Formats: sequence, structure tokens, C-alpha cells
Amino acid sequence: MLRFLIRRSIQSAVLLLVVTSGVFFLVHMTPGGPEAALLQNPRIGPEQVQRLRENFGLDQPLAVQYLKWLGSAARLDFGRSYFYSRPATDVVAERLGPTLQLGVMSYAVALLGVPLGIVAGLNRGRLADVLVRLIATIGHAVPTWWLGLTSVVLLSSLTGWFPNGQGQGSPGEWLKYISLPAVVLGLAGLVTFARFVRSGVLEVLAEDYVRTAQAKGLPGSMVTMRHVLRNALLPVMTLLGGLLPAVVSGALVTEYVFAWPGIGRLFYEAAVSRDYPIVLAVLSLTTFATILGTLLADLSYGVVDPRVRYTW
Amino acid sequence: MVALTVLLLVAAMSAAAPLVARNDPDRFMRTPAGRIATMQPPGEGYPLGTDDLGRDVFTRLLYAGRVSLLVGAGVALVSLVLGAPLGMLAAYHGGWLDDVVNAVVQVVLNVPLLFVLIVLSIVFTPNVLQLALIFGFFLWPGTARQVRAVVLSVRSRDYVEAARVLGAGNVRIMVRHILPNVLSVLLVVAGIDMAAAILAESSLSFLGFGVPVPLSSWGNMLSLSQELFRSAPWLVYPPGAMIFITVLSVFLVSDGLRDAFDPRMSS
Amino acid sequence: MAGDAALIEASLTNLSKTLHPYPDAASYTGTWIDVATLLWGGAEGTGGLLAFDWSTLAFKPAMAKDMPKVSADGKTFTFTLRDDLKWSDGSPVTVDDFQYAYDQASREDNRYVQLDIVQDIATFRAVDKSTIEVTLREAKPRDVALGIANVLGPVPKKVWEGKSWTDTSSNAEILTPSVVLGPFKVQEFKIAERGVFLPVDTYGGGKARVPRVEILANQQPTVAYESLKSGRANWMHPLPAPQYADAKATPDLDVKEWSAANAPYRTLEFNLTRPFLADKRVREALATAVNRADLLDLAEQGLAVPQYSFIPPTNQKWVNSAVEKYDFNLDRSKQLLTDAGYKVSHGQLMGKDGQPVKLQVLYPTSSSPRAKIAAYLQQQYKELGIEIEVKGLDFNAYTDLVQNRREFDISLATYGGGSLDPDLGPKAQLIQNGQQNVTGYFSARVDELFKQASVELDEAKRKQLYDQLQVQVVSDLPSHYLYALKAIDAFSKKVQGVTPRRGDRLDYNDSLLSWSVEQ
Repeated sequence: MLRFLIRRSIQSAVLLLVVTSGVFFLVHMTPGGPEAALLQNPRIGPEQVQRLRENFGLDQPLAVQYLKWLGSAARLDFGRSYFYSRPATDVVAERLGPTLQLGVMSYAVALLGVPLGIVAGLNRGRLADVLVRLIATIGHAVPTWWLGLTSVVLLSSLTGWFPNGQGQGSPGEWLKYISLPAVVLGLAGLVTFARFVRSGVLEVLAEDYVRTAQAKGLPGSMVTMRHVLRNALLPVMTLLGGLLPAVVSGALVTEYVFAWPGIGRLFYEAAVSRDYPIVLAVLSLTTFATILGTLLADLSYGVVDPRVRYTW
Repeated sequence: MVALTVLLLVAAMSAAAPLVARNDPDRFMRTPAGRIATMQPPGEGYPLGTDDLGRDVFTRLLYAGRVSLLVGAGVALVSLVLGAPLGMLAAYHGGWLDDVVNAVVQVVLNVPLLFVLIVLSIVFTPNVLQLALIFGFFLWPGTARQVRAVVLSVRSRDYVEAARVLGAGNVRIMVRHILPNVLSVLLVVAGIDMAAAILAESSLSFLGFGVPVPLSSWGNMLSLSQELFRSAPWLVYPPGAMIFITVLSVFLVSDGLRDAFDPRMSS
Repeated sequence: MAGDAALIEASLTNLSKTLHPYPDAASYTGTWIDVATLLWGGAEGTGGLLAFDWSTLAFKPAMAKDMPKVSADGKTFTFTLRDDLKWSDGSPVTVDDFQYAYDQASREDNRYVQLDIVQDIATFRAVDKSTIEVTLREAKPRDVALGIANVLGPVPKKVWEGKSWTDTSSNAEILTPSVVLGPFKVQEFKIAERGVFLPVDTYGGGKARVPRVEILANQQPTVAYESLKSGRANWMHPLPAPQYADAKATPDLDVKEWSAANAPYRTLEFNLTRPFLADKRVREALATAVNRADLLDLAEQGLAVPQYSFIPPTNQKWVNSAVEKYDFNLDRSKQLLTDAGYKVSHGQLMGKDGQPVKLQVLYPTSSSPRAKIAAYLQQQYKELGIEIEVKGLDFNAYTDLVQNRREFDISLATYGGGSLDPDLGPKAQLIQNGQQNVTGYFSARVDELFKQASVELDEAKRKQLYDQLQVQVVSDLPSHYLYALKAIDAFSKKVQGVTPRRGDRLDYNDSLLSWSVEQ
């Protein structure tokens, strides 16, 4: 187990380096640059554009830029944002808080899919199953932004209350303003969990050893808890591996509809304006989160299903 | 099953679009006064009204079915064809193969889609098929990881160990024991991927990377309507309803198939 | 009590990333102008000695007592500063504040976005306690010269002196100025969330009637419109065209639409380096195949005015209506293509190389009206047998491809919205190697006329030169001018006192001071 951990940690570090480096080059070679905003102004001449690029260090050869970036990124210094005129890490840190809050809350909503999936699996073919699957479809048949917009429009015309931005002041306000975006964002996850769990439950219920246990007369709840849960949770663990990156990267569309000051929107705007320091800071963060999340998911398989052994 | 019939009906209508619809999906309809008939509510001559460019919504909806169904099915196919074998191999063999697959998965998962799409969109404008291939390519890591998890679990089960001890070859083990378990996961994934693809095309058309203009898809019809909730509800609900019905049918069909193919289930 | 409520704007973008009165090129955005108008006052942000009056379209005194005295050679302007001007903390505005601003803004390493204009000033000096003398490098037409002399506004020297002009970490004033010039000061400013501004009692133009101005950032358009309808916000600027019809029909809302003299306008840009488009007859065919009236309906919901030259028709100071219009005439299009030697075979226009003609229309995906124009062109040019590939690109990539690399056939562009003077806007599109000359257009005569007009001091002669320019350019047809956009803002009926003038913004010239909002 320890060997596995060490080996995977080294691999992860290498992966982090490789992926972030690849992303660096991809981002810099995408057509366009921070000077696009300037080019809209008819009086800006090529000298000013050149001066801007020099100021951002963009006139140097790409390899040189890369090495410089790598050196400071290793110290967690991601440079100065071109447009915010502040260190990129400061800007990202400011927007990370709201994103984490929304991410965690939406995952809490999504996890409701697990009990729903169990209920559906245990009651296959009956009303509960059909109902759950119907609800589950909504989460996947409707784009997030559409759901968000509709809920905002409906809510404001019915109740006059306008869900917009973060709630300030008391925890009650905070909860009030985060609930709708969390539900909208978490719905797709809820659906995914529900479908996988349902499938896992059905599969386990058909296993011989479960039927044997049932035939032997073991109490129903014991059968459920131990065997069904364990097997149904395996795909859930894989999905949870995506928890960390999803929570960290934010959800652009939900943030847009609810004017939530998170990282998703920050990244998109930085990408569009080619604010490379911020783009790379956010991408490095999400890469780290994904690699860590995958590692944690793999570790969790052993916990959930002790029969899964690692032979390396 | 009802769902299957519905799905087939939708597919058939879309395929037969040119026969069912009377209008050209790309032509701007005109009012008797000669101006372009933008945003006409459902009524005389337009069963579902016209969109913001004066095109017949009903016709576009039918043609859109072709595009969306094609993209959905294509993406699910690519995702499964790439993801399932890689996931199985990674889990079954373990060791360096697993590491390699994991590395590739991480690379694909972490590549920023936005930048890739911008670069690709400059190089070429993808047709529907190419779009499906590209989307599918970004979805296979999820499939692979799910498959891998299932295989890891099944591989170490007693009856598999027993079979191996008794001398069964790897291929036989894979086919007889592992594959059936994987199949149920694949069916769930296929349903989700297909739904995701139809919707993803909707948001990506924002970035100019959806189906090429002037093709309509349910996704891009829906995204075009995002500012028109109040002004033109006939643009908002029909594509949304089509997506809902199709996705529901797909889910029900995949669940049904799953139940049908599971050898251990008896009715 | 009536007139007591706050003015709340639902903004479709982030707030400005800086509150510096002298932003660099990266920070000089429309959102900066929004907040700078509140904090630093004046016609376009920086409070100045003069103000450009958007009713009369001429300069008038603002911080100066009167219009300046002009020297005989037309290069030196002498201003007398008013003695009753105060900063928001009550201290007086002095000539030192102006001198300090000039000394800082003229430094290259401070990268002021309008450095090129500041560099047109040879000397800027405070002659005595109330007199400022500005000398330009060369004599320019009066309006242009006044614009140059007026480019600077004061910065509170006693607060800023000794602090870094550009570093936000060491100079907190950049992001949260403590002492401002304008009608409002900052109470709260979170770029991605909201900005809250309170009126300044000592403002020279008078204290604002609204008790508070709030700007909600980053609103999705439908959401912003809903917030307007529900009363959460009471101003949307601008109102997107799709919401126009509904807004007009809503009794609680007041839609202001007006034509600005400096309205933005849309064009089809032809890449003249492409062989097919190098022939003027072909370009004329493509132009006359386009029906401006259809495009108005389709892309702008009728909220635009047809335009025929590089000056919007609403810019009555400079527009020349006596230019060729290239009105819609499909038969003429077909005839022109035949004259140019192109034949239609099996419904496809065949090129000189024997291959069917294919053109690529490029537009930025951030603009949905242009997406519609592209779809229209695709359908319309089918009538001529030309196959169109519509390519929507991310805005940044679009700019790179069109302006830097010139890799396009037809580009859908939008220009305008800045200064009224033709020397400061369209010239960049039309002179050889102009910064915005994406078509590759070159005419020695046009270059010469622009050069003459930029230094012609006689107003009437200058107008003649620009008239000739418009005729020449339109006749050469490097771009096809489509239409100029109307400006539309939406208010709750509770907002009183709003009167549109001829600028593209409603809050020019301190108009915001007279707005009030009922409870």
C-alpha cells in the first residue's frame, strides 16, 4: 500500500509537470493575445502594441517564457494578471472562496442521488423506481443554463425574490442565496449518481451470494447495507474522484446565470482576453485537483471493496 | 417497450424530415408585405412559428433531430469504443499498462477544452461527424475509469480466481465473467454520454464550435432562445421538449437493454 | 418620500478592473468609462478644463472659467482655472494638481492609454496660481486642438505624491481612491459583484439627487432584464435588442432610444488581396446583393439607420449624403458578375480557375447580430451561386486573424463609438498601413486628403476635404457600409429626469446629477 502511494505520488508529480507544461504551450499558441483589446482603439499604433507585449514579457522566445514561468510557478508565483494589475494568485484566491462554497453545496445536492438510486434499485419496476428515473431525466435532459434561467425567471415573477450573487450578512442569507445555484448545478450530478447507483444495486441484487443470503433468511436490511451498498458505491467512488476538480473549477454557466463571483467566470474571461497568468494559474490548480482526485478515488476502491487488491 | 417506440418514432421523423416538412429549413420566410417574417408566433402557415431569422421552426426542429441524434449516438459510440477497451485493459493487466492509461486519461481530462476548440475552429470548420468524434474524444476518460473500477472489482472476485486456477485463459475470463458486468456500466454511460452530447453541443455553439451554420440542432435552437424567454416562448419550449423526450427514451431504453442482457436476471 | 431611492444599474459585464484616473491600455474599457464618469467626472471620465457638450457638439468651459485664449499661431492655449473647485474631501483643486497629472501621464513608463495625445503637447505649465498654459507641437484644426489641450484632468497631488502611479499593491488609491473629483465617491467596489457609490456634497456641478448609485456586475442578459422588471434594478445600459419589444410593451418600463452622433456602425470588409475580391465589379455585386432593410429587421430588430459612408448619418457635422448608395439590386449583382467574366453553371458561380467560387465570412461569436448577418449572407449569396462558409471565432482569435494576419475573405466588423472627428476614427481604417486597415486598401489620393484634413484649420475647407474623401472611398468600395446602431437604454418608470442627448451615453455632461428615483 505504501509502495503504491509513493509510486503514484511520483507519477502524479510528473503528470502535473507534463500537463501544465503542455497547457502552457497550448495557451500561448492559441491565436490572439492580450493586445486584442487595444486593437479596437483606432489611435493605438503598432509601437504601443509592441510596448504592451514587451511589458508582459511576450516578446521573448516561447521557451524562455516557459522556463521563467516554470521557475516562478514552482514557488507558487503565477505572475501578475495583465488586466487586474495584481498578482494572479491574489485574484484567484479571492474568487476561490465562493467557488468552493458553491461546489461543496452542489455536491451535497448531487449526493442525494445515492439514496435515490438505492430506492430505485430496490424497487425496480415499481412506482418509486419510475418516479426517480423521471426526476433523474430532468437533470440530464435540460441544459444547466436553461434550468437556471427558468428558475430565476419563475422565482422572481412568482415571489418577487431575486436570486442573484452571494447573500451577505447572516448564515441564513448565505443559505438562501446559495441554495438555488447549488440545486441547479448539482442536479446533473444527482442524476448521474442515481443512475449508477441504481444499476449497481440491481447488479448486486442478482448476485448469487446475495440470493443465497436472502435464501438463508438473513435480515433484509443487513443484506442491503453490506453487500448492496458496497457494490453500488464503486462507481460512486470513481465519480467522487471528479469531486475535487469539479468543486475547484467552478461552473461557468451557473456562475453566469446567478452572477456568482467564482472561478469559472474568472477563467472564461481570462481565456477570452488572453490574461495568461490567470489562465495558467487556474489551469494549474484544476490539474492538481484532478490528479489528486483521481488518486483519492483509486485509494478509495480498496476501502469500499476490500476484495480489490493492488498487486503492484 | 413504450420508450423504444418513442425513440424510434423520433428517429424516423427526423430521418424523414424532408418529406414531412414543407419548407426549406434555411430559407427566410417573408410576410405578405415582403419583409422577413422574424419571430412570428405559431399560426398561419407556421405550425410552430418562425425564429429570429424568419425560418420555419417546425421544419428546423425536424431537421435538427437528425443532427442531434447523430451527434448523440456518435459521441456515445466513440466514448465507448475508446473507453471500454482501455479501461478493461488497464484494470485487467494492471502495472505499467494501467499507469500509461492513467497518464493519458489525466492529460485528456486536464486539457482546457476552450483553448483546444478555439485552435481547432481556426484550422477547420467541423461537420457533424467530425464534431461527434471530437466530443467523444473528450468523454472517453470518464468511461474508461468507470469500466476500470468495475473490472478491478470483478477481477478479484472468488469465482474469477477459481476460473483462473482451473486454467481458463485471459480472453475467456474477460468474455465470460468480466464483460457482462462491464456491459451494464456501459449501458448507463452510453445513455449519459448521449444526453450530455446533445446538451454540450448547445453550449459549445456559443463558442462558435457547434454544428456549422446554417444547420439546426436542438441544442443550438435552445441556446438561440436564451434571451427570448418572454418574447418568443415558441422558440424556447419545442426544442427543450424534444430533448427531454429523447433523453428520457434513451435512458429507459438503456435501462431496459441492461435488464434484458444481464444473464443472471430472471423475471 | 419621493425621489429617495437609489439608482441601481444591472450591468452585463464585470466592473472596471481599475479606478485609476489614468488607466493603461489594458484597463481602458467601456466599464472603466462607466465608473470614471462617476468618480472623476467630465465628458469621458477625466474631469477637464473643458467639457464636450453633447447637445451642441462643441466644447464649453468646465473647470476653466471661460474658453481659453488662443495664441496667434494657434498652438498655445491659456486657461484660467475656476477658484471654487473642490476635491471630495473639501480641499480646493489647484493648478498644481493639473501639473502633477501632466508630469505623471506624460512619462512613457506610466503607459497612459492616451499617451499619444499627451505627446502632442509640447509644454504644459502652471503659469501662476490660476493660469495654465498648454502649447501644442503643431497647429491643428480647432476642435482637434482643443481635444488635445483638454486631455488632462487633475489628480489630487497631496494624496498621490510619492506613491507609485502603476503598482496596485503599494498604492491603494488605484483600486479604492479616497479623494475624488467627480459627483460620486466609492463606498464599496467588488469587481465581480457590485459597486456602490455615494454622492459628493462638494461637487462643483452640484450634489446628485439620488442618495446612492449601485452597479450590479456580471448579469446574464435575461436575468438583468428580469431584475429590471422585478424592480431589483432600475437601469439597463444598454438594453439588448431581443428584449426591446417586451420592454416597450411593459407599462412599468421606460425605453429610451436615440441616435448618437458617434453611433457604432457595421460594415462588410472585403479582403482586397484575394483575387476574386480585387475586382471592384465583384465587390459591387456582393454589395448590391445585400438588402439593408432585411438586415435591419433580421439582425437589429429595426433599431438602426442605414449608412452609406464611413461617417454615420447621425454625425451631421461630417456626413456627406451625396455618395453612391449601392442599394439592393439582385439583377444588377448578377449582371456585374457576368461583366466581370464569371459564369453560373448548375447553380454555382464558377471561378477563373474552373472551381466553384467559395467565400469565407468571418465574425466574432461574441456578437449575435453579426452571426445573423453571416447567416443572411450565406442564404443571399446562394442567389448568385456563391457558396459561403460561415466561420464564427472567439473574439480574440477573430481580431488576430483579421487585423494581424489578414486571413479572411469577408469580415463583419463594427466600428465607431468614440470621437466624432474623422481624423481620430475612420482614418485608421483607410490610410495605407492604418492600424485598422484590414482590407489592404490603398489610394494615394485618399492618403493625401487625410493628411491635408488633419492640419486644415479652416472648418469649411476641412468639411470639403472630408466630403471628397467620402465620395472617393465609397466609390472604391473596400468596405460596404451597412447601418449605424441606435442606442437603447431601459429604465424603470420610477427614474425621472433622463434626457437623451446626442452622445452614445446618457450620463455625459453630468446629466446623472438631475436624475431621481421614486420609491
